[in-house]
Amino acid sequence: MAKDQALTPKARIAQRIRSQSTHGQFVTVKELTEAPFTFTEEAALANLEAMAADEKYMDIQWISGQKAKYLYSNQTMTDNYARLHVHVKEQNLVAMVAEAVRHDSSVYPRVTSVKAFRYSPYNLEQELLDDVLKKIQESDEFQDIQVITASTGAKYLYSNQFLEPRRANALVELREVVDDE
Amino acid sequence: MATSKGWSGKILRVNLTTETITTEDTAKYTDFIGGMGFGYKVMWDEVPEGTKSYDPENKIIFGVGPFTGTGIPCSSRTNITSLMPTHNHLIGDSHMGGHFAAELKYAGWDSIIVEGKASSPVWLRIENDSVTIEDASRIWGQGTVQSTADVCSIMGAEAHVAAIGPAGENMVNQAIIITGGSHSAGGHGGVMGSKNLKAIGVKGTLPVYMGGTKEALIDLDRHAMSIIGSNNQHVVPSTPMPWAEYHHNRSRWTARPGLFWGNANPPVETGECPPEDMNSVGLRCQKGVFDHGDIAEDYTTRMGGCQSCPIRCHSQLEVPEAEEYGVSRFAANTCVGWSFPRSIMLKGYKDGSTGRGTKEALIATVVSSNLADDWGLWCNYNQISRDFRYAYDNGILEKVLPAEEYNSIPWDLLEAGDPNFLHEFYRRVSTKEGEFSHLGDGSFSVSKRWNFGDDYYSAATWRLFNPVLGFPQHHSSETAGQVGALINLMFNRDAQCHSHVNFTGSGLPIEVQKEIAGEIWGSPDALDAPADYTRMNPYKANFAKYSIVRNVLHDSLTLCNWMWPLQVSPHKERNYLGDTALEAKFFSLITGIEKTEAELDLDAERIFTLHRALTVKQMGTTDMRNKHDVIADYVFDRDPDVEPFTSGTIKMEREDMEVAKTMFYEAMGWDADTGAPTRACLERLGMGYVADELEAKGLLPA
Ligand code: SF4
Repeated sequence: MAKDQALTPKARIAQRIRSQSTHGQFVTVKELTEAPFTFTEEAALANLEAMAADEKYMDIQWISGQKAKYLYSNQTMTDNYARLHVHVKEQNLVAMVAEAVRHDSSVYPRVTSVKAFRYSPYNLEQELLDDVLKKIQESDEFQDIQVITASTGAKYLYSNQFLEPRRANALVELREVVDDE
Repeated sequence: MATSKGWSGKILRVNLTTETITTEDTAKYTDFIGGMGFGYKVMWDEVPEGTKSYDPENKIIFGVGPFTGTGIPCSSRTNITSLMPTHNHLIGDSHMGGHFAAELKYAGWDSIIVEGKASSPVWLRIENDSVTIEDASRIWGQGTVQSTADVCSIMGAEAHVAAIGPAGENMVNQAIIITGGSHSAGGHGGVMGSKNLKAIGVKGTLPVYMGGTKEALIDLDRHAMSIIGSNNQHVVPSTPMPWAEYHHNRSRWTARPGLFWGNANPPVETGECPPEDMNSVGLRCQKGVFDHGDIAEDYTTRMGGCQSCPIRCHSQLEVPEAEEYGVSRFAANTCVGWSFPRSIMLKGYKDGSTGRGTKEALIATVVSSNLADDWGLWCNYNQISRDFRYAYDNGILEKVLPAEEYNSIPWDLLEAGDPNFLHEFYRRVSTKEGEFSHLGDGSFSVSKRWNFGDDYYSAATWRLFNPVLGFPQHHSSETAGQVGALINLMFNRDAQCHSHVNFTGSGLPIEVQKEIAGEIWGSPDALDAPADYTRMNPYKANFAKYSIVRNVLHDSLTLCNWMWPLQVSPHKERNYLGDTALEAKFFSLITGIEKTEAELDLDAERIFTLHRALTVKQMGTTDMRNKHDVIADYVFDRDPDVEPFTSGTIKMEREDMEVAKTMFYEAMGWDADTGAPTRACLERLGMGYVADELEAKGLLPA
């Protein structure tokens, strides 16, 4: 008998979620109905409900996107990453960029380099990124998101809900010019 | 004789005038730990004030410490102490990594004191106890690459060599000593040259004994490795990662899925590198892309670094196009070792670009870096390129250079971004060819000689933090306000202290940093958020003092201050706190002498206070506040329409900085008015003899 088949259904589900989370992937209920799992949707949900009350599985979390609900383990995927990854997964790019910018401006606080969205986990091509920025600037919902161009020409974003323009500008110049060595 | 633990127990003294080689007991110096501490003690005891850098009476001390050669992470650093020709002949240090330091320890030496002057070019050959002064006439005049190869052809490939290039031989003030191809110590190459000492080759086969057991060392090492981050102890990745709660795109933890050492065969993916995976620590820092931009990924063969360093911050590149300019296609370096050579091309690169990021910029940088290291020229923390730019852009060169010389310089190549210009630049400066070569004298000298305008000393563009000694800002007030400013005031050259900038640059949010600051320095108010500064307070003085004391400690033990102290960690479950007692734990284990964190810090305080006492003695004044601790106007006058301590500026206030100096002097136990060490302070640190000498010279504060 394969080792993981000796595990309880709850443990097998948790194992799968934790391992997928390590690599930055969510698990959906639908996946638990597909090979190698054999759960019906009802059985999978019943197990998940039981897990929510079980101390051993307190790390297993739900997060809702616009298209689906996802499972992850906050032992192996941080909550911050999960919030971001929902947008990546659903390619909800405008909200993804805007939320990342607001998060940076409020939590660190810092300005967000536009270039950062070219890299993983965003991996946006320049053309697409330009389009996303245009949509942000046109949208009423994201009026707080501002663009700054540094004296070097590099572009940054910030949310004026959390950073004043003068501070944002100073942070851009610090990053681009003063700290450049 | 009892076996010495940690220290090898012996110091090598080489008198090049008399050609005598003697051995001394390290025990005489151990109150000063090693490295930098030993250097200051020797300089205090043996080099009279008034001595100039190139006088035979000056000495140069190559120091390692009790940690060197033990395998403690990042412990192979060589500290070089001597007078600084660029900075008014005051005491100063230069540092290099590589393998030289560990090898010196394996040869059984804690330091080399070089004194006098050889009558003709020599090199020093060290193989364990066998030490000889060798003829260097065949090597003299060669670049550092060939010199190193020549020494190794005699001693064997396993030898490690510290060499100077023509710049050092010609006593260009801005000259380096270099080992391992890319590990350079800036500022003392000319001192070696003045002694006719071309190189030191070392090979060792001896053990380093320790006080504790092997098992205890492995345990402590594991603990340190569990806390260690990436280069500069950055503890969050540069892009979002599933394992990371935070990220920061200026973090040196650049590894990510899809980022490679692209020129390795086969290419090596840096990947996720979660903190608990010890086998991927060496992949965390892809420094090539950090220093050069994305273009460097395909040219990065691997990351290199110092003996015993798991982090590896030197990117090793292969850029075939460099050969078209008559230099090697291979180059390795890190940080300013790349940015200084790149910025000599004042007008940008062949493709019209300026700054980093393009292929032409990369080619020019590799050409320039090869030439800088081979000629052995130092940049004064990149001030040489700013000096060059100031003189060129303001038409000064046209005025001060004789017409014939001016017309002989191929400015068209510079204007066109052609790297062939670099050959002219380095040859002229390193061989003291013509008036142009005075760029190598040091910023203070050349700015006076060529009559630079007032703006050079006062505008932020030129970054000349200390206009009296002529050194640039190096993580100064732009880093934690008064803390960085104080750190930049206290040495006699650009501060090479990274304790504070490693902390502020860790990538953690300000609230997390403030909480840790509260634990270490007594209050979260020790740290201000970037561009949101507050007035001086005593906790900032604690932060500044701690940063310097640890920097000095590291240069004495020896440890790399581009990694240590491990104040933060990548672990949320530790609230991102590191372990500031690690140096003391390793010290107790290695030397067998139990010391607490506070006791070891006190030893380092002794060392730094001796540095201050040396400065007082050499400058002949106690008035450090006004004669030494001087800050350029731009620090106070930038953003003219904005008040200091308002959000959105890093502007400082003059009055507040005087308060900051006072608080720092008091934290050190120095005289609050002058900033000179007092008798009480010197006696508290066991240096009553220093107080006696200063008093006899009228240099003890009332
Ligand atoms: S971090 Fe860099 S400089 Fe420091 S020990 Fe490692 S390789 Fe050497």
